[in-house]
Amino acid sequence: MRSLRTRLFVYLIGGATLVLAIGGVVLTTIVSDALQREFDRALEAKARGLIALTEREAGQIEFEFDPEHMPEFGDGDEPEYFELWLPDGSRLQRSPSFDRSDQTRAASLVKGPRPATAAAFQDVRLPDGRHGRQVRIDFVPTLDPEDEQAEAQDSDRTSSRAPVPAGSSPPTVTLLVARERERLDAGIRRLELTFLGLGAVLVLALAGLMQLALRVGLRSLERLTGEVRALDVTSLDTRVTVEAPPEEIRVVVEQVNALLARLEAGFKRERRLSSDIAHELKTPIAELRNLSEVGARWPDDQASVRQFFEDAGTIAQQMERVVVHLLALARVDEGREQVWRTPVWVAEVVDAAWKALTRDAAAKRLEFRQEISRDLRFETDAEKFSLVVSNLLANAVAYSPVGSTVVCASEETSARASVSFTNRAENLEPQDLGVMFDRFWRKDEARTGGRNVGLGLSLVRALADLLGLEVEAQLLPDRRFRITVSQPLAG
Amino acid sequence: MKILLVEDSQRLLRSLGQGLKKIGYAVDLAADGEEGLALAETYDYHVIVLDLMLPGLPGLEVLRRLRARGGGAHVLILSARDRVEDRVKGLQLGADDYLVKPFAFEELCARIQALVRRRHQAKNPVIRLGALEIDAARRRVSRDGEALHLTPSEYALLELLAYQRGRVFSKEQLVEHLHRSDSDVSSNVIEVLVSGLRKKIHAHGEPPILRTRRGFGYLVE
Repeated sequence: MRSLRTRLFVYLIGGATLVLAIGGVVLTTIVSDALQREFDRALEAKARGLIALTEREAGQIEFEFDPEHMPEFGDGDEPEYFELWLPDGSRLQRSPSFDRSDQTRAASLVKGPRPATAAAFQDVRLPDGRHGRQVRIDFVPTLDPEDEQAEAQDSDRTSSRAPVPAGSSPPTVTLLVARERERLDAGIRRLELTFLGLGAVLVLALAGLMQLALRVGLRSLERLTGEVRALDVTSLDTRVTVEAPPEEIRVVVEQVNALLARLEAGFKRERRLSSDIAHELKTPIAELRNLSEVGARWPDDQASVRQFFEDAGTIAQQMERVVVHLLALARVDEGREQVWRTPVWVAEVVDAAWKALTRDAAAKRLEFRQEISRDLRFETDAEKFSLVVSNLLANAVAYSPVGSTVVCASEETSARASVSFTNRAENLEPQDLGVMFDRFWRKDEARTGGRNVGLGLSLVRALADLLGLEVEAQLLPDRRFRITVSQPLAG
Repeated sequence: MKILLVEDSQRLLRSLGQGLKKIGYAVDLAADGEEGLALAETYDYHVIVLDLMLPGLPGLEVLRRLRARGGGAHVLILSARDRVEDRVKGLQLGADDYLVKPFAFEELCARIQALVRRRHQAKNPVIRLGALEIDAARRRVSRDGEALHLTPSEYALLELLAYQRGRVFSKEQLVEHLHRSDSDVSSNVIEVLVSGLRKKIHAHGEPPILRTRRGFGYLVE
């Protein structure tokens, strides 16, 4: 696939060439037309000069031509030609240039069938074979009595006369004047070649300038391409840097960097999750393996073997909890969980969840204060909301210090209804609030003890998102920790 | 030989402690880093088996503090962390070996034995005392190719004295090396142990291997 630079260059140079070509053609046409019009004007002027020599006098048409004054119509090397025709089709006069050779003598100018009161031009082949241009003017000779006297004084003039029929209307005479146009054509060809050459030079110069402009203009893009090309899964922590990027590239750089940041965070999260899963399973596997190996090696120690079996059962339960939580999270992640909304009385859900925890709570001598309004109702999925509540309460029981109090309270405003779970948390720090919903996060990195696997709050967040609930964690004075679950109220 | 096992998993601590004890090691157990460090600084352990992710004081910090205070016990890190950087960091901080969970009990024992040999600067796992041969790798003792059946405690006593050939151990020292720190064992137990061991390893007409220095203790020559 061609590069953007090549593509831009092809488009630009193609466009420039087309514009130059059209401009060249138009300019050549204009200049050629101007030259031809000038040529025609000169030809017509010459014809008008000859017309001025034609007069009507005493019933005759008289044409007074002096070859000395108009040597171009003589028998020189590159002569011009004229013919003066009478209305009856007879020729009154022709230029001496026709007498140069037998060929020219036998030839005649092309009169054409159409009379022309105005000057009519056409390209012709001259009697001597050269390309030429001819003008035809049909005119009525002027009547000038004074010319008679002048005629008598100038005996050198060549004078042609023809009688004009009496009583008829003034006769219309046809004048044909022709001259070669080969120099004009050569000039126009030179002009065309000049424009063509100039155009080629311009195209080449433009190509060079465009290459330079594209190289400079696309430098940022090329740097960006180079940096992006160098990125791989091992370099997600690097960021694309392009010095003084143009606006379009700046936006791309920002977006690429934002994407990289998200990818990096995602990769880190995935890596951490994989590592956490591995670690969460490695320890119980190590325990199981050692229990079985030691038990098998000294099977006669029945007390130890019995204890090992009990331990194996506990380990299996712990691993089951991990797998169940992970599967639940996976179902939510994949959007496979359906939500069946019904009215759910929050106080009833909380009471039921606490009932399941009373044994654990009693072991830690925890007091439970339920301060939820009996009227508080969420429009939500009862089963999943129960899971949210039971996880939050289980968390509170697990991490509350012995002899402390767990408080469940509710609050309702016009915009939202919420239920909060508050307990003492001795070790939590403000920075923990940002990560405590991450999967496998536990304040105690050692993950000592197998009952809590660090997936409860992740599941709470995932289910809350699914149910359209908001979950907020807060650290309160006196090392109290509160999680609030809110549902925006419709209308 | 005395081993300190620092591991936060009670189940692992229990099963490993049980297994190592049955082999003949005197095993002290610690469930967190602070307790482990306190024990390591108090007693002379041949090997410390140390988990990394411990509540309270992390394993690497225990190791760092132990080495900073000149603790010379060989340390075997036992961790679920299997990344190269974790192993490198542990070894760079002064660990002598690194074993990733899950692991085979046999492998742990072999590595502990290797560290014990290193402690005694012995490369060959087989110790020969005349006609007596002690295979520390298989924890077996034989005389002229015939296996002798020693109890784990007898084996541990013989192995300790054989590795430290020529050194006299008092009864109190032997109690400290061969029994858990929290055990209430009197020096009479050592006398009984030595007596039983002598009967099993000494042959008629040959000079005794295990000797008594009256007023000082016991040694192997």
